[in-house]
Amino acid sequence: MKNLIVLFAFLFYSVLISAQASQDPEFTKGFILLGKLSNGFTSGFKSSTPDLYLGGIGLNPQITVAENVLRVGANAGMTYNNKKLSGLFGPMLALKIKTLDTKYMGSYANIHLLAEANWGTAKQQMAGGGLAVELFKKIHLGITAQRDYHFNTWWFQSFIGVSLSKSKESDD
Amino acid sequence: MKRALVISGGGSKGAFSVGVIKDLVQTYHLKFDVLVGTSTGALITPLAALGMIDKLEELYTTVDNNQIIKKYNFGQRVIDGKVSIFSFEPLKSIISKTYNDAFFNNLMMSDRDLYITTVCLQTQKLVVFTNAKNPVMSNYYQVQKFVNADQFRAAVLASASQPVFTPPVKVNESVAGDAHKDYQFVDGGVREYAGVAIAADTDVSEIFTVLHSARKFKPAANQFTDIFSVLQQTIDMFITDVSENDLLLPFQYNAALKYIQSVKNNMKDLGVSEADINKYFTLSDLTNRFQNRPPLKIHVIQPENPLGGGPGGLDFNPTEMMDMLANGRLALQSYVAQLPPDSVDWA
Repeated sequence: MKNLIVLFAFLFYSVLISAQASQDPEFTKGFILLGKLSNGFTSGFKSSTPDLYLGGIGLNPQITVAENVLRVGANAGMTYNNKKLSGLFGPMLALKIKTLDTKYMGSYANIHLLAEANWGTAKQQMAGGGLAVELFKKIHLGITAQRDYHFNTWWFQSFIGVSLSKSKESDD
Repeated sequence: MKRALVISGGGSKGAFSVGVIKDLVQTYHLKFDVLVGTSTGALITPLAALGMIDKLEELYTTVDNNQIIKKYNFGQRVIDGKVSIFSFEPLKSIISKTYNDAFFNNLMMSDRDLYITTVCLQTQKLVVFTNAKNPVMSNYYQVQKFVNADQFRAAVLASASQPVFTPPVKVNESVAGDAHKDYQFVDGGVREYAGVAIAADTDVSEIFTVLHSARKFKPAANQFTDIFSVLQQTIDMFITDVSENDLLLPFQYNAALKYIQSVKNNMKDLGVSEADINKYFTLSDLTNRFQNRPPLKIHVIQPENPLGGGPGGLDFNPTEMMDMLANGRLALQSYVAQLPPDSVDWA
């Protein structure tokens, strides 16, 4: 865990330095609200628990706290797993690691790392992370893996998110 | 002898023009009575008109992309229905600081006539903004006088605004009583890359034109394999083509003036009196552009090889721009070196 924190801090620092060197249109100042649809499975690996389908919907507000680098936010959603519906809530971080751009015409996407912790109404206690692509500042596609420390299971999900907030960037 | 300076468009490539102007003014001590600027030329010519060469050099060797345009997520701009890929907020700030109200007042009191070319998106006409007290008139373009400092700054910004890349500008928004305040204006280079024809319409005898397209064309060695590279190459072709077209008409006009002058000389050699020659060549049509007009000296200074600076000069790299400026000075020296002896009185 300590190594993970050091790695995250190192990534944050190096991305912050590179972002400050040039104009970056990704992870700009402001607030976004994502509507998310996720799909995946839970697995206990060596335990006797079978792999089970996992699906969910949720909202994910995020605010940029370090321009071009870091957003913090929260997850709030409903999830279906093991024939039960439960609510999931928790904080999250998004660390931009790469801006995908055209040489002269601005960017079109970014790749970012996710770190999140969630608590569920069915006593889930989870932490994990993932990798996501934000395309045209509208569509988010990603995969996440979270460990449920209470039930000793892993949650593997892919998700698609759509930005529901309106851009406030000016025209001129 | 009255002289005109014409600076074409080309974004960061304007540093080449600054190198040329620097030597024309500081080495050859030339003064320009008429200045015509298009796009980056519209940013350069007001400072050149007031002799602020050091300020020009500072601007064109230090600014970078972040000080000119604001970049966005390209897809977001399209999806959100924005009017351009970039915005101009940083450049607007430079223009406001450089061309402040005091500058505008000095420009309006100056005896130099400045013409800034724009194109109106609504009328599709070439619209030329000027401080000239008695501006030139033409059927090919419309002329509007500067009314206030805000309009002047908006005209400079509009002239530099490459459509699609940067937003159109409502130049006359600040003009009280204007019937078309909402009309949007963009880069004059859309219709007139280098305003040589406008300079030729004034009463100057010598025109210095600085182009930013390369004299020597070298085929691209690479393949264009995606939308962006094809678009970038198309912009460069567009600029080069407009440049060649723009020069064609003034050169043909000047060739006609030279022809008329030769005919007059022949008539004189054959014993026709000066008064009779003038009678033959004087018509009642006072608007005739060939009447009583001696041939013009038109100098075209341009780089031998491509300057760089990205498509349309949209890449502002201070190191590269310093090289362009030095390149401009060298290009002028080469041009002067090949001038026939006694063909000009300043070199």
